[in-house]
Amino acid sequence: MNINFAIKVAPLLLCLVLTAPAAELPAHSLAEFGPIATPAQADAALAKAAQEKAGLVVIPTNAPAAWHPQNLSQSIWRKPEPPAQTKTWGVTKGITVLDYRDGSIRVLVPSISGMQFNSTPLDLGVTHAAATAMITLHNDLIRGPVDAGGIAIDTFARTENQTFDVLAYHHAYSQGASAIYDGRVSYLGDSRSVIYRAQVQSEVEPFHGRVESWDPATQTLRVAGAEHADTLASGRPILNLQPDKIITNGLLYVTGPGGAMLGWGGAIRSSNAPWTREVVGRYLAIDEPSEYVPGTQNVRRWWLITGMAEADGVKQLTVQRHMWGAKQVGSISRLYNHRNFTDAVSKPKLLRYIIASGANVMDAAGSRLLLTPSPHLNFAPGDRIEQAIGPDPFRPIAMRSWIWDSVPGLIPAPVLEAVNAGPVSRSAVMSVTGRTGFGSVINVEQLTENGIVFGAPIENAALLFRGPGRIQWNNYRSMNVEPNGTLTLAVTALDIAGQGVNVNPNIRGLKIPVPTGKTNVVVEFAAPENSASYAAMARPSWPANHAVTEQTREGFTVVFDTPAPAGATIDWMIIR
Amino acid sequence: MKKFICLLALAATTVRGADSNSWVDVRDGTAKVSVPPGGIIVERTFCLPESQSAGHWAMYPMVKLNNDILRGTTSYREWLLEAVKAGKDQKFYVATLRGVFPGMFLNTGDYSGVARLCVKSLGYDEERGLSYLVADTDVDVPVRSLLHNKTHVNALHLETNSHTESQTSDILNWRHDYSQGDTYLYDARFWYMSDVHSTAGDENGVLFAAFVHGEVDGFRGQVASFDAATGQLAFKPSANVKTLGTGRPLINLNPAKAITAGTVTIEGTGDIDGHIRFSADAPVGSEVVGRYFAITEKSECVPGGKDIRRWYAIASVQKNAGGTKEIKIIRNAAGTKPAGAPTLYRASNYGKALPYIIAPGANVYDVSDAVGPNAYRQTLRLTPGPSTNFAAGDAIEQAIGPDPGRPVPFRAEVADSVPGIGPAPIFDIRNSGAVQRPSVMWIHGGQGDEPQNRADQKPPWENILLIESPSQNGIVFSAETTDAAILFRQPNNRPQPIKWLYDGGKKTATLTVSPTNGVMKFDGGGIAVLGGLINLKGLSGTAISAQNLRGINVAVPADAKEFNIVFPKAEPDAEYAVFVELNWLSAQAITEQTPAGFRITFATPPGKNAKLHWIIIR
Repeated sequence: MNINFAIKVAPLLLCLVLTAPAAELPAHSLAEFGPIATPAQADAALAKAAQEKAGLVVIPTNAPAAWHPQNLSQSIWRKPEPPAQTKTWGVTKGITVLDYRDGSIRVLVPSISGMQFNSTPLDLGVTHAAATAMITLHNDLIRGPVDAGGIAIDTFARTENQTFDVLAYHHAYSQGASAIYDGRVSYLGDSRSVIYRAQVQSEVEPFHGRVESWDPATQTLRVAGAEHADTLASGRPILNLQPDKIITNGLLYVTGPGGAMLGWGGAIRSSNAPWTREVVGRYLAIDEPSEYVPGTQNVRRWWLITGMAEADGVKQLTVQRHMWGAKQVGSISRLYNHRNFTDAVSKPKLLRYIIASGANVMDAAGSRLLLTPSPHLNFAPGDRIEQAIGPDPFRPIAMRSWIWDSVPGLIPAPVLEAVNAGPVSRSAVMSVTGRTGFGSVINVEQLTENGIVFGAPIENAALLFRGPGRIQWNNYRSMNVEPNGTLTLAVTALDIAGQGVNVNPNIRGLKIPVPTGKTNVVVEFAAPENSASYAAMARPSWPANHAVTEQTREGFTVVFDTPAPAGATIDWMIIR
Repeated sequence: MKKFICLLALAATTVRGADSNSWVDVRDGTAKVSVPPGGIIVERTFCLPESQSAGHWAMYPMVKLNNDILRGTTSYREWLLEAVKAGKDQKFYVATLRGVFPGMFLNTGDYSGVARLCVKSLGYDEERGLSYLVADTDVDVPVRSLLHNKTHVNALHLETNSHTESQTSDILNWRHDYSQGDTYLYDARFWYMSDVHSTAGDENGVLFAAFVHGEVDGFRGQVASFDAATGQLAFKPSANVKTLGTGRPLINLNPAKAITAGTVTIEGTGDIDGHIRFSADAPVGSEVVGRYFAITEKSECVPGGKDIRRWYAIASVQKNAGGTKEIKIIRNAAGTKPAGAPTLYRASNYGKALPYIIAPGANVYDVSDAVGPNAYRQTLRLTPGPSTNFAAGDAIEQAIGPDPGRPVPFRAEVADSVPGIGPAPIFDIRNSGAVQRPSVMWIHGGQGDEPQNRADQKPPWENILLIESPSQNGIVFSAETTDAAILFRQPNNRPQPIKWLYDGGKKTATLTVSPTNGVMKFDGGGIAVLGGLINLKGLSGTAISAQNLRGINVAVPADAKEFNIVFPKAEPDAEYAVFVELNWLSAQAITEQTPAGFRITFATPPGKNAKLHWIIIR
């Protein structure tokens, strides 16, 4: 880790070096450890300083300008010595290197213990809402900046590790409002600021090149003509793609695993591929353009083959996938194109494939690659090779919050809290956009008292569907509004719990007057029906046989065998 | 000149008025900078000379951390495929060697009985098609043992132990923006090519993780001595000294000094109103003011600990007619409030006679001689109070906060004054990649989520999304949803209702779909269908669905005296009302009803072109 910063502690470090007697301080000029006129000499001097545990080493300004020192001074000690089983261990002393040749202070910290800032206990009275940060950065941008942030962290991880780039632990044994991260923007211009941004990016153009040399005894591979060598890392296999060393004959098909995450229950099969037990330990990729990693020319996903079986002329592979441990599974559950799955074995969707030999990289540091022992490793100078991308990434999560409260507390404490304390409206609390989409926007998989609560006035709609949108219960019961505005309930029945149904005014007429002495009356609807196909019922208010005649879209006629007396009325009802 | 610079640096890192300086310790090669309470200040004024400009698309951070991880770290946790006997050069068969290298530390077993292996070499057993590693082991390692090691190689590690009151932002990032330009206060980008997830036990890559832990196991010990004049209490610790903090009371647990007789009944609803009422036989008088009250009922003890209680300072006592007494306690919610009831874990405990304890105690105001560099002094300083009768040998504990304002993992408070042009949501989520993500927000949990298994007998969440701010629209679906806009999976055959409060919030209208038979039920003030009902299968006034609704223009043969209607689909039984309308004048009657249909008898047989309509309602 290099820290290139101009903090005032760095001058402090410098003064300690440059003003105090060397005998009293573990601080030295690099020149004390040998000539430094050339980069090679400077490297040697730095190695000697590390060997002598020189403490703080300052690179003089006359060191070669093109020299980029690396601080590799620190390691782990073990007792007894490796490879015996370790009983005790610890961190060796390293050195800290200060390089201020270009005017900025560059601190090359020891690789394991880094650099530490420790606060002294606050044992004096603090007056009047004082702020007592351990490190304060004041950043005044007045003229010229393009991108002039406060803190930049750039991590390149080329080996397995479990890491929190910024780790902030807060143990609160007393009281007081505390924010682990307090980001505030006060703005006066046409600001376009984001306080917290999470951007996740698949890198899909991996290393490829040719074999320069291969030593099977030491499993050492040297490469030539490398592209994207900066992406080399341990834990991803190097594949031999030399055309005469790969298997591509025949076609395979992949049966769908039915939603299983890992592909248990599915299968990778072929009736005409020349597979034998020899393929175990090699790597399989589907070689169809629709299965290439999008945005690439032909980057494929490779899985380690762990088994091959044959029955009735059909061969079947198992592959290794990593899901909380390495698992041997029968299928690839996440093909890009679901049409590439075979639904019925009688109609297989045949796919091209490649099987190639390869081996996991266990060390990518330095000018060579060390590979894990594997079968069928037949690298030869000139062979085309590539390092596979991870075929089953557990894709990074933008934001996570897990809670372990034990005491209920008085005040509500949501996980995500948004307050608009300003006088103007914001467009949304949460906006979800993009062309690819999401399986779901909100997925609630834990018991809750209420799902979504609208506890404040809503001016327009609590739920607004700008296009077709279905509310669904279980798998088959749903409610949606069709493009013509019809609410469709696809449910077994609608139970209105003994309450009434208020429908359109044409449903019925009440107490329609019938003139005295009349033997018929014409009922006119408030609005025309779509057709005359409806069932009409009428009930006169006096004893009479009656009939409905002459149905039209606008209404119908009721005739009576007994003339209407004074004050006579009818009620009517229609059902389409 | 050099000394002058040095003095400047020292001065800049010295708290004004305090006799405290920074120092740097590089004795072991690692620079350890000890800063004074005022910390260190790094300043930059970015002001290029006139007519100069920063470079093309350049980036100029004040502090940059470059972190290159090349060799020696790992993230491995896999199960051993075969048992291994103690011995030298033993083969450990594993499902994958991904993450293993010669020379690597490897632990066997998980949280107990761990042996520390050193990987000597790696191998592949061609005959068995299995990979293995070679190491010495002192002990037998059973099959399915976990082999594991994981390395953290952080860029920045910030650890705060807060033992005194403070108002703090651990990382305070304030930006005053008086010009324009895209700006990110916190920009986390994750480029990945690997599987990210390595082996068993991974929690995956996360760009912003907020974990909140309620710590409940507090300090316990014994009084060594107590000086009431100075408030100094010397103690002998027995547990968790590191959790001592100011502002939390030290409770005297000497049984002889506690009051426990009788019972207490809590009347309340969880807020600060309510009553704490003691039975007539409880010896609670005005002398308990200033002492501390806790409920000792098991179900009200703090989960995850042994007999950990929530203690409240007693503010006042009132005697009631009939001999009962009531106290008010101090609760802290936006200020100190005398309160009538605590918030209980279990709603069922309100109104019940519960066991209790009242004990002496006092607030701790200084722990600096109990934790940190002076911890060896094992001394606390207590606030003067009416119940500080500590004596050597008394058992003591420091209470946990009984009413924590639980940490909010993410808060956004906006105070805009100008509307602006572009939309600016609080959470702006976009999938620009080639593959789908399963969800934008996933709310999930582990086992034990059933209310009966939880301390408060409530679901883990009261609400998932609570909208208490006026809005134009609540939730908007402006893009297509290929399956459902809102999907209720109704697990465990429990209905997931939609509810509306009406009549001023006094009544509730509920819409459910039965998870067993798919019946949609609306229980409210009725349904208004302004556009009309269509495709209605039937009408029923009971819980049994009608299978038929009506017949339109059903032809009746001329001269027929009776006519049978056969339903398209049989009803469950003959319990339905029938209405019939003829297109000729005749008295008529329904003379037979069965599940399959009904018979109409006419007083006057029809002529030609006779038709009838019918309707049934169950």
